[in-house]
Amino acid sequence: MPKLAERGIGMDAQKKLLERKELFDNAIAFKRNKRVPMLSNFFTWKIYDAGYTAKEAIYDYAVMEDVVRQFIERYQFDAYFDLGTRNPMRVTNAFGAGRHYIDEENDTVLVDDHTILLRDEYSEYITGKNEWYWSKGFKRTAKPGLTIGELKNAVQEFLVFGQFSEKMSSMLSSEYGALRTASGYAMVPFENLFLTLRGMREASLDLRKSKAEIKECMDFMFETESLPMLEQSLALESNDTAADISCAFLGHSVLNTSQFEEFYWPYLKAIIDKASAAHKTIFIMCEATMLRFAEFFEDVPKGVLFVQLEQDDVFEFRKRLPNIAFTGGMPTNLLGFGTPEECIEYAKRLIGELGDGYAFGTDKMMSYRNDAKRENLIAVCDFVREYQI
Amino acid sequence: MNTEELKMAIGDLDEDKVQALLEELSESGAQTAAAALSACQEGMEIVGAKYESGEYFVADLIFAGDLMSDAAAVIKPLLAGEAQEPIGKMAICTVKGDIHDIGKNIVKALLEASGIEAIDLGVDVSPDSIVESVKKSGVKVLALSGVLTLAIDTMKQTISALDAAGLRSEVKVIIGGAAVTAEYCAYVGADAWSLSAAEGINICRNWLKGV
Repeated sequence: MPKLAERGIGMDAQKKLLERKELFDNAIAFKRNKRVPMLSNFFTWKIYDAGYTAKEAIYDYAVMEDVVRQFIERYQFDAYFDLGTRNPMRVTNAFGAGRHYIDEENDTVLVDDHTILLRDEYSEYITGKNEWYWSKGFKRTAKPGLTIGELKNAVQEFLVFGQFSEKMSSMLSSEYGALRTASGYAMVPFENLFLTLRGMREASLDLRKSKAEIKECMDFMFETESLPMLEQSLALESNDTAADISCAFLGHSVLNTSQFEEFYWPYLKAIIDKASAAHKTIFIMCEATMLRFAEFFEDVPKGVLFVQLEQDDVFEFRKRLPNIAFTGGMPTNLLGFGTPEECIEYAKRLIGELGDGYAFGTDKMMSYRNDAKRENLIAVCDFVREYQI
Repeated sequence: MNTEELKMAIGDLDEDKVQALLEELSESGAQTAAAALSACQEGMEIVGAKYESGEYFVADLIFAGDLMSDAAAVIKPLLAGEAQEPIGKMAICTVKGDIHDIGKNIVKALLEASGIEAIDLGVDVSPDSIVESVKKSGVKVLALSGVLTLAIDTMKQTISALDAAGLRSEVKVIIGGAAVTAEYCAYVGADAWSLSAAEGINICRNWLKGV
């Protein structure tokens, strides 16, 4: 990746980027900062806050750009998990692959649990993945009777989305001097089964009904998909991101400890080990809880992981895993139903007790109108930005 | 058929063994079928206990729900009038604005396994529909589920609607799902909340037994 100046980023934005990058580098490495960095985990909430409906923003990139600009300018986080590019429904709907949809009555984005790989097709996937995709997976993903014209349209939508995504990333760094979460990506195979191929319910059943098959398939996926993706990600530079590699941590939310040890941890550990050896950092986007698996993470070297926590008690997390930096902890129920003073008091406690190794953030992805009040979020962001550790 | 073995097989989520034991059952009489159903329910209590202890988690509860449904499908036709009287009946649903049903279905399966008749009102159910169903069925216990924080407001509206219909004092309400917290429980005005299926079922069972 070219240096910042070579990418047309002005001096003011460069200065902000470098300052913010240093804040996150220090936080991940547990080095003392002058203030805690702030990471935005806001998704559709910012659409409502900007005065639009989900449908208006998600299907119109000019509106979404306005949404993101308003959000950045109003709250001034240091890094952003979403830039209006999560769940590109124009693309998936054009193809027919969309399991996400907008509930217009409630103005929310919802997703259906879905299956495109059947339980008896694991071996077929291993022996001929491409053939399986073209003969079965593709058909189950696309809308029935997809025409060549519709397919071309979907490809066109994909290209338009790529341009929009690139524009938003460039805007963030060059105009606002702010960071994205990571430049590379790593995938534990169970996540692919859980999110895409088998779905939450069927993947859960497979752990007992098709134990050998699911394990064999995950070994195959790790070798042929996860590792090549990781190697490419490790080669990227990350001068405008909070961490180097992003890794989803969602499927663990259904696993018991034995299942986690057998079906998840070996792959995640291999990813962590490779990143650590390459002196890279991993941003883990954790849904639900993670402390159930604390014992597995005890020996992860300090300075490698940076976790977005959701339902875990952040104070307990710090005691149990003092080797892992994290963001999160600001309660949605306070931001949504409390007062600015209550929010500031809680933020003060978070920073005071967590300090080094902590980046300010919310306790969940902010997706609904009642997740936060504007005055509460402005108050708390202004406070955190100015508060000296 | 050995009911103790069936109970343990359900508790261990040993699908092959459960199926083998249930095959023996088809040749037995209605009394054995009733004993088998009780054994399955006791087995589900073991599942609940293992969940509480941390040995089992969500994937296991999904599996257990299916295993219990399959077992019930074999046993119930054989009961021939030997059906057990339920502890009581209650209603359960995912509230308006939320379509998550996996957690709700797990709780429903465990409620039924513990001898409670659970009337499933579905997902994305409006306050008015819930009130109508409560009136019609006469249930005294209502479980509201929601994963999205958006559901919190609908839960509050539902409890207000129960109040407006003059039903609130007669109906105990428990809320559950990833969105709920003690603070939200107080905010919506529910009688109890839980993130644990097993704990929630104990609360409902105690309410229905008048404990």
